[in-house]
Amino acid sequence: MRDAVADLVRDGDTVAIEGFTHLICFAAGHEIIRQRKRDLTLARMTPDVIYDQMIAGGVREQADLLAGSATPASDRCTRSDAASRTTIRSRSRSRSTRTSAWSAATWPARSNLPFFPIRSYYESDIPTVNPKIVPMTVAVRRRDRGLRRPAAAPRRRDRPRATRRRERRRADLGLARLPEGGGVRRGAGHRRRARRSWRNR
Amino acid sequence: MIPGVVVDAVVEEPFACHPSFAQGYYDRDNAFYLEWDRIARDPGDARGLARRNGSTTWRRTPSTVEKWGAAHWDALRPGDAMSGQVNYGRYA
Repeated sequence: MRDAVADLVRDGDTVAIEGFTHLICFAAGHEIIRQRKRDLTLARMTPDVIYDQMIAGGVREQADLLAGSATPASDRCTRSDAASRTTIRSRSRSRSTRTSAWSAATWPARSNLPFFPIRSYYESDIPTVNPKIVPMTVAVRRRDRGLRRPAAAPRRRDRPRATRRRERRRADLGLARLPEGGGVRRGAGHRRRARRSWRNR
Repeated sequence: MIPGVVVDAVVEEPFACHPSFAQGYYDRDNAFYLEWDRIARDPGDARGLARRNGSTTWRRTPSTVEKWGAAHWDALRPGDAMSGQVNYGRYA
């Protein structure tokens, strides 16, 4: 453990010691304290005693923790954070996030991508307190166009619903273009149904 | 299963997850978690303890495992609950 931490953890790194109640590697956290690593960003899906201890051990510059989780361990971190506020608050900043956003943040890091799109913060206040969440416009996302759609596709299609959904998702990811007309057979019937209701998709 | 390309180091560390637990090897040390609640209320105490953790007290080398005492680990050790045998079939 001593060699692994010495080789792999440098001051200023972002460190994730995971484990959901089970298999939380305290030995790694303690070794990091012992080697007096500094200015780490501590990342974890759920707060736990291990990060309380690392915060108390003075290794962190900030913590990326998933707050408000339903685990019994979460309140201890909160309590310990209250303790740490009195002593090391000036050096510590915590940024809360959500499980889905957490995944969205760690996938690109592991896959060497610059970002990962996520919808769950849409129209919430969370982006105002976390500058890392940036709104973006997805070119083709029929669902997101919502009420502003002037007219919607008719019920009658030339391919099954599952196929259309797959094509739409691939288009959303930029992997493919929607077929001409969105896979919709255009004609008099379409125009009539579209006029009747934009919900008629 | 974890692919080797994403692994940089594998460490043998007995009781590495204590006071968390490792299924089948040792149970969660709930008494410790409750104790940490008490410690964390006093930041001076928490910081001192964390530093002591960082030096010697909780170092999970075999010698520390001895220091905590066999009775401590025995109390956390679960009974056996082996899985049954699985017949994968023998193919030529």
